[in-house]
Amino acid sequence: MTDWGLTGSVALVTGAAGGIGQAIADRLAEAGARVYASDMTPDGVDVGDSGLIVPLGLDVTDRQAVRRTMERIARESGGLDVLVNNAGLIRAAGLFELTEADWDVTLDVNAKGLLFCTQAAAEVMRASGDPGPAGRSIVNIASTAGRDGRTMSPPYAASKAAVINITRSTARILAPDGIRVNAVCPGVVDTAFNARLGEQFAPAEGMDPRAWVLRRAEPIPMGRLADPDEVATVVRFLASSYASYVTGQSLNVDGGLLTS
Amino acid sequence: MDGIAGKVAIVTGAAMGIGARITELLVQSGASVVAGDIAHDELTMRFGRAESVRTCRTDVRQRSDCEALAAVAIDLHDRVDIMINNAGITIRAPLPDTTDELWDNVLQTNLASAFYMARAVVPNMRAYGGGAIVNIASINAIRGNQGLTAYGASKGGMTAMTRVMAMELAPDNIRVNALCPATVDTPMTDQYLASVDNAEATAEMLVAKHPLGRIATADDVAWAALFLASDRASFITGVSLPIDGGRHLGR
Repeated sequence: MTDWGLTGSVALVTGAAGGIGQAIADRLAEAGARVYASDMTPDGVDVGDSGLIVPLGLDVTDRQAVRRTMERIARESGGLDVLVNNAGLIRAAGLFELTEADWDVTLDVNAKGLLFCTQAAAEVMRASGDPGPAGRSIVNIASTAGRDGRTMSPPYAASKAAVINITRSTARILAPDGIRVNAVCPGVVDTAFNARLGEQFAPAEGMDPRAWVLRRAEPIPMGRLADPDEVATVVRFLASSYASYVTGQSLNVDGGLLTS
Repeated sequence: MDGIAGKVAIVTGAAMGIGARITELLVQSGASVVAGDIAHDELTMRFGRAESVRTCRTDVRQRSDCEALAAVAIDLHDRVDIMINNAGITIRAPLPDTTDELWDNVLQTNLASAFYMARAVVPNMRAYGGGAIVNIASINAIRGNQGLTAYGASKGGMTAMTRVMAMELAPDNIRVNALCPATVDTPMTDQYLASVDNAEATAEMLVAKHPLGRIATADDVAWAALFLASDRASFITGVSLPIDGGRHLGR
């Protein structure tokens, strides 16, 4: 196997029961990292057969629980090297249907939860011993919607724009500690997350939900949706020693969508 | 790096610095490389004995040389999977001293070369179902810097060309991306430091511009180039990724 510099590293992936989160956990474990894979409940996480994936329950909007989780990881594994802030949700509702609760839950999970996971993880990282060859880093899952606003949910667009700028500001703050912070901006990924949108919106257009999802590939220059693994391999790159000089970046993984 | 083994790559400007390191890492990752450079003696000294590297004397300013480089790769391996447009020069001059000759030299070397190479390899990539082009641009494609009118224009042109080609070639599964390195520890940077009066202070100032507290190594840039060229970046196209230690955050 090639050397990502992650063998023996300790990682936390939030939202790991979803398509992208699970793929990230799998790819980090493949690179030899011990991966704490969290979601609202641990049941949905597939631990595979590597013995390296540890499922756990965590609500990222619960600051105390986030802090306790970081402390547990530090206690069990001697520190933390990689945080992947993947937990996120969307409440698809047009501008005039949107409720205050939609805004609050979207910003709570996607932006506030991400920031406080970053805060608690960075504290543990700074107190950890010498890292492996990959050093220490945080990778945030943003979205192309955070750049161009193309989404069914204005709060989602706002929350992902927040992720892109939290990435920049925390990269700047944590650079002196040698902690790199980057993000990926997936376009449309073939996940349950998008299948649910299909189920929500396809009937009104008299469409099959799957056809509705696949139609979203039309504006994508590469002509197809992303596989979750194609996002996960980029996350692993950003967390690895191969990206040793990359920080503050939000990298599009969109098949050229935003370039067009 | 995985996702590279068995591929055929062309690297321009392969004799020194980033290009040489990319060539070494491609070989180490299991690729065959056709390496071009105008400095052919240095190139053969470095790679003449490497089994999976074929070296060529290539003046990338000349269309015919670029086409010949592509032809060597296709003759030898039938196909080209990866095109690394790395050849480049920096010539500093204030605007009034930027002569036509300087402009032409920089633009031909840094920009036209990438166009010549892409045009020469794309029909082959198309025929074989895809490929990846990685253009080594510069932070100067994004930020301005005194004395670099021609260089900045060439690198800005390169990132614009990257986006256009990415759009045009996406239906053929040919991905086109660029890297934008900031200051890299290479012979090119050494030359620059040798040319200034206060090399030590200038070097310190360069380091201070990068939040990670160091300038880049050739490895930092080369690994990122390999990643974008690899199958592990299969849904990334049209991007210009800064390899800058956070320098873009400093303003």
